[in-house]
Parts: sequence; C-alpha cells; structure tokens
Amino acid sequence: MMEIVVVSGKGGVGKTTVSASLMLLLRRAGFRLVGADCDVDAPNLALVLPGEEERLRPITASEKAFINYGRCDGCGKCIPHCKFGALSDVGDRVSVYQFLCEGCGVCALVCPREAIEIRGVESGVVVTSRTRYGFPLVTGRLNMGEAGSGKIVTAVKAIARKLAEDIKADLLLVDGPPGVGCPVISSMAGAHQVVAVTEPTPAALHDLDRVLMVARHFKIPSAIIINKADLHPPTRAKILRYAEENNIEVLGEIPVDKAVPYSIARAKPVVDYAPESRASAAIRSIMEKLLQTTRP
Amino acid sequence: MTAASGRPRRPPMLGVTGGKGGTGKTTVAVNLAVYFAKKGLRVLLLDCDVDAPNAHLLLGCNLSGEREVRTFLPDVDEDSCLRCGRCAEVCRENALIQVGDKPPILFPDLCNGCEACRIVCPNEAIKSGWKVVGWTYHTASNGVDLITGALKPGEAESSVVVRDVRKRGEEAMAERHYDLVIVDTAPGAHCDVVRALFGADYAVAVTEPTPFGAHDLRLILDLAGKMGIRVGVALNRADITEERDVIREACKEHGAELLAEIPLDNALLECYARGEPAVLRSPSSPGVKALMGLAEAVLGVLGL
Repeated sequence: MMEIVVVSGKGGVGKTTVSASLMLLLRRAGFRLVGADCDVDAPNLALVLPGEEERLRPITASEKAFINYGRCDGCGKCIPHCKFGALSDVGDRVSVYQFLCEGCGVCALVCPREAIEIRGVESGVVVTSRTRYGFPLVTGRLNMGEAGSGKIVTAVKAIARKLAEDIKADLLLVDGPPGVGCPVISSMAGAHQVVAVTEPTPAALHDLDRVLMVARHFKIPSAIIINKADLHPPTRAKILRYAEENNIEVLGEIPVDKAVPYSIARAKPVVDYAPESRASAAIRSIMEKLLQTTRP
Repeated sequence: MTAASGRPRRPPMLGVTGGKGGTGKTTVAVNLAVYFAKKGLRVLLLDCDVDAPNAHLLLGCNLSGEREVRTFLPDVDEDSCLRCGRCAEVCRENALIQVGDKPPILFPDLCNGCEACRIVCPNEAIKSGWKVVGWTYHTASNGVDLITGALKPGEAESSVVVRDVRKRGEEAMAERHYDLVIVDTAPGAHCDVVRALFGADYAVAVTEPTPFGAHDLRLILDLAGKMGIRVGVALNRADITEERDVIREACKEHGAELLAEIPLDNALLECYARGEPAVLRSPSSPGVKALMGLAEAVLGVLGL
C-alpha cells in the first residue's frame, strides 16, 4: 500500500482543496482508497467530504499535573522546575495552567509533600466516517488548547493504516497539518511520498523550503504542486527555479479560480462542484502525474 | 506613559490569530504594526508562528540578532551511572531506554528537556547537555521592532521556541518603552497559540468567508473565551464568496464584534509578494483602507 502525505509549510495555500479533489479522482479512477485528515488543530477535510460517522474514539494522548490541595502547602518548590511555565504562585497555593502543562511530571518529582499527581487526559478524538463518495475517511481532532497533536496524528494514522489493510486499499492519502513541527513530523512518519502544496508568494516559498527540509531529514521523496499559480508570475518563476535546483518534480499548477472558494462554500471538492473549471482540469492532470510518479 | 509609581507601565498586548491558516494573520499584524508606528506609537511585534515565521518577509527585512533556542538534553556519565533505570522510568517521552546492565540509551529527537531524569538520578550521573531546537531574532524595520522565532526543521518542541520569543519580548520591554505589543500566532487553536496569546488584552481573529474559515474561527473564539480574551473579527478577502453570513453567525454566537471586512485587493497581494507594507505603499487601495479602519477600531478598543 502506498502512503502519500500532503503538506505545505505555510497554512491556507490549498492542502485540503487539493487533497479532497485528489481523493475523489483516485476513487473514481478505480483505486481502493482511505483518506485521512491529520490537520488535527483545524480539521476541515470532512467539511468537503461529508459522510456518515461510523465510529468516534476518544484519545488520551497527553498527561497533566493535578494538585491535591489537601496536601499542597504552597511552598512553591515545584514552580521554578517547570520548563513550560505552567505553574504559578497564587497567594497561598500553587496553580496549574492546564493549557501550558505538558505532563512531564517534574513537579510531582520535586514536591516534598506528594501533593501532585500526573494523570492522562482526553486530548482529542479520532472519527471514522464513510464519505458520500464511497471511501472511508479518518479524521483527528485535538481538543482546544491542547498539546500532543503529534500523538493524535499518530493515532489517526494507525487507525487509517489498519482500515486500509482491512479493505486491502491501494492508497492512503493524508491531508497533513501546516508548519514543520511535531504533527508534521508525525504525519510524515512512514509515508512513501510527500506532496507539498505551495503558492507563488515569498512566504509560501520560504515555508515550502522549511517543510521540504523535514521531508529530506526523513528521506521521503517529495513533489510540488503550485496552487493559485498565476497569482504572482515573478514568484512563480522562483518556485520553478527552486524545484529545478533541488531536483524536485513539479506535479502541476492550479490557476486562481473562483470555482475553488465556491466549491468550499457548497461543501464539495472542486472537481465535483465544477468539473469543467480550470482548477479541476489542472487537478486531473496532477493526479495523472502523481500516478506516474508513485505507481501505487 | 508611566504609572503613579514612576515605573513604566506594561504596554497593552494585541494578539493576531484566526484558527485557519493563510487567512492573512501576518498581513494584518504587520500592516497594523507599521500603521501604528507611522502614527508615532512605539510598537513591538512578536512573530510567534515559529513553524512558519513570515512577518520579516512582509516587513521587507532580513533576520538579524540570532540567538539559539536550547533545551536541556541529558548527558549520561557512564562511569557514575548505577544502571538503576530510574531515569528511563520517569521519562514520559520515552527518550531514555535502559536495558539490562547497560547505561541508558538516549533518543534526542524525543527529549522535551524537562530534566526529570537529572532530578531523579541518585548518583548525579546525568549532566546537563543541550540541543538547539530553533532560533530567535531581533530586527527593526519600518519603525517596528520585530522579534521572530524559528523552529529548527525536524525538531518538534515548537512551544519552547514560542516561550523564548515571549521571553525576548519581555527583555526588549525592559530595555525600551513600547506603547503597544502585537503578537502574531500560528494557525490552529493548540498550545502554541495559547502560549502566544497568553496575557493578551485583546485579539483580532482574521478569517475568510468559507465554511473552513467559519469552522476554524469558532475554534479560536472558543479558545479565547476560555482564556478570557476579548476578540474582534477581521473578515479578509470578504468578497471571494457570498458566504459572509457564516462568519457573521459565528461572531454572533460568541459575542465577537466584526471589526472589518477587507476586500480582495491586488495591491495588497502585490505588496505581500514584494515585501513592502501595504499601508505605506498603497494607502488609497480599498484593501488597505479597510486595514486602516481595522487599525483605528483596535486603537479605540485598547484606549490608545
């Protein structure tokens, strides 16, 4: 089974737009496919690939410090030991700011009164659904303000891979998170191919370079898709030059097309909402090239 | 502006966030900062999107004043190691593994630098080593002081880099008086966004008129509510669909004010691509006018 992950570095360049349309096209081309949304901080893929929810699993991916105020005498010894700034002195006692606590347990280790307990907390959910296009979709959702998005991503991928095995899928296509940090690393782990979506702006190119560094670090082959390709010709030329210098294949270019925001508004992949649009034609040709490159 | 005691008052802090990626957070943060600077305010801008730090590109400057962001990494002294395995036991990231009578094996990529291993070692066999997980920078351009954090690609501990950006911001505030601090956050509603927005007096959430924008806006409005931060919403590329109502609904649900609707504007795009703040370059274009309206609304809210 071939595992492909779509990333971008910069957010909002069109990962989900590209992923949703590629999934639908691959399905229509006869591939057995599982889709996954690993942008667990802001999962949007299910908005354009709605379906019937089949299973929801709560995930305990992070731990937090809990203070037993019957025991805590407010000595504050734990506070300077917290590397994450989650502990503070609130008069006669210590308080844990849950959003900043990473559950490392150092406070519990240094507490002279054994007043701190580290407990697992539900940090997100993984939802499995059957999309109206007939393939399964696995979506991860991190609870608000939580740490541990990488662990939710790992859970999404484990569930998606198991599902792919069960249905003897040819392909697992992962819509990844923006950035280069923990959830991106977890999304790339074990993937066969990275597809990086970018747009012709200096910020997007800057962040494309950063995310491709991560792919190189993990020795995963990469390819580029230029979205909104006619947005700014000079920067488009720079991206093409960057790809050539780094020997990275450009799978194709998608023009600026009003059909894209309208398709999102109608909760459909653009290739379904407006199959005749220029954007859809470009994505079809990208799919052909992706198949030639990866041969799932 | 000083408090009665004569000590400089802490400047108000404005967060710029939004949930969804690519809605224009950095465009708003940078243009607001430059606009305020032009009005004579002393502005400190903190780029806390350490995964994809772009504010310097929009300000049109190169990063300088580099400092490493380091985290603790255990350095095991094999001679004094008792092979008791206590360090591996307390490491919740599984960065230390101890098998049989061998000293522990370290997986540096997994270490979050908490120092639990060093604290519990009964024989002081764990010395303080370190690894570089990113960098911070301090630059000035167009009248704005900018502190930027950049996570090292391949490293996972982005929250430590955000922490250091905030710390360097505190240092800058101790050295110099600022009238306003603006913090540009990462997309999403996770712990790095919390760390960036921590202590903010007000936040602007930048979004776009699509179900994606509305969905992610709700996440960030929820989060800000839990953090006790008031939010105003800026609807960017307001005219790319006829779906403004989905955003108005989300605002209404959360009692957030819709501060501005910024139209799709080629002048904004051109400035973005060139690395020139649009408020300086094309102040009369419709997008920039809307941005300036947003800036004035924010000044009103902050009482500046």
